[in-house]
Amino acid sequence: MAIMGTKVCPVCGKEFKGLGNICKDGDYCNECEKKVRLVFAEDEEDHLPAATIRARLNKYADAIAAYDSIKKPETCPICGKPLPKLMHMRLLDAYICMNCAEKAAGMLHMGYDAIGCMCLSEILPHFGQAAVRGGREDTGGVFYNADELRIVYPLIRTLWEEPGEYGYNVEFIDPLDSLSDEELQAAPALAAQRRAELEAKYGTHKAIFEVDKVTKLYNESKGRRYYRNEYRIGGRVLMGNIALRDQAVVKRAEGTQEFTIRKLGDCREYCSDLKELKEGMEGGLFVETALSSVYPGDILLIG
Amino acid sequence: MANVKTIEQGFCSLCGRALLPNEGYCSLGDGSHICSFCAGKLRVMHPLTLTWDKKGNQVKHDPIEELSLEEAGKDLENAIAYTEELRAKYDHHNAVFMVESVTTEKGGFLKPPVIYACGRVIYGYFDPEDKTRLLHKGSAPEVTLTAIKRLESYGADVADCQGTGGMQCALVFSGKNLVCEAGDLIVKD
Repeated sequence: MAIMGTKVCPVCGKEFKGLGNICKDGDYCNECEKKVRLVFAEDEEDHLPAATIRARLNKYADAIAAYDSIKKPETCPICGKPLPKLMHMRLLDAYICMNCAEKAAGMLHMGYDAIGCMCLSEILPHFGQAAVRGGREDTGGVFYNADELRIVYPLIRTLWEEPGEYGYNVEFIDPLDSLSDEELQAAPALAAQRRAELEAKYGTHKAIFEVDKVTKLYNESKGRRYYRNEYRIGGRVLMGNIALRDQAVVKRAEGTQEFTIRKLGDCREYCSDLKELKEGMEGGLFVETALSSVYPGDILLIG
Repeated sequence: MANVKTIEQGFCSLCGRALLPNEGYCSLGDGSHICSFCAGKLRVMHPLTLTWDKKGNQVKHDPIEELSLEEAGKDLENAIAYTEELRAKYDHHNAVFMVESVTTEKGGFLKPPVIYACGRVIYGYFDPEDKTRLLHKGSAPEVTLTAIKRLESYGADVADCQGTGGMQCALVFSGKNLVCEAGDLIVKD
């Protein structure tokens, strides 16, 4: 068959002339290619069979047909902020701001460009999550602030398998998303009760931190570890919020030891750039002293 | 494709954390699981024992695996009080290591011998480059730990670990005229 001769497009089944565009099952026509450009990012269709390409085109057929008729709105349909002139992302059926596009890419574990090949209706449900919105509404329209309920419903840390070098990424499940209306309405009272219990047990403090693990920090160079006199105290904030340079106190039978929190990090051991650890969060307190009298299971009183 | 890995592992019966494949978990006698953080807190009360059979295979005896969930919960509440009792018993040192056997290796030309003190951390934790004291027959010379090795691989060139309460490990140090014997204590203040 001549290169420039007549061929049958494996995607739409019509005859076409010319080189066409490559996919796993052969060459497809330029008419299909215009549609394919809208729903595939980074030439991923080169390695896909024609049936997969056809299925994707059928799925987004309405959005592709209406693509040119979509006009850029004044505000982002997700966050409601004014849509910048350049810093925006064109979806198949809408325009959203760059911040929302980046958040969506993170939540969907996709590349930023791949978000542009989706419809707004696929992205919008993820922005309804309590962790993203900072809380949840019940059916009566009453909004419950997530930060105030984390003492009884902390985020659950899980791992997300990522093909590639690092293997896993930290991912959180928000228990607020799966609460019924009755449970959500009872949550503020439960949180207040839990706070009262902790205050009765440990006294009134700015925050209370439970120690899980104490790790000595080191720099690694050419396969050798060089230990420093710095420690990371990993654990969970039971109550209150911890800020940088707060004083932490641990009570022992023979006295108390006090130290200053120099840095704050989240649950990842290498992260130390947080400004605040909120109630219910798992994280790490970084101290720059020789620390040996804090044990796993200890309660740190933050003053 | 990517997927969440932890749902299949379940949740810790004591603290409610998800049991993650990279952190490990401990199964209790009644079939419930607890996370490595809770197991670490219980470890001082229930130390892990590693032995080797005639063929050289490692035999692990973990008393935590014999506990029920109720017992584990009670022990977890009393873990810090138990550590305080141990601190009072051992003169309020911050960490104590009991030496069970000692292996010595030549340190090289004009260098002092390297001492591998194998034993158990009673409570507290030891890290490489910690300044400690070796309590041997009334003397207490200061020694700086050069490495902490797992008991099963202390002679091999493997990465250091942290010697935590209830764990068997080997503390590596060197120094002139140091004498270390089974029954000695290595303490950190």
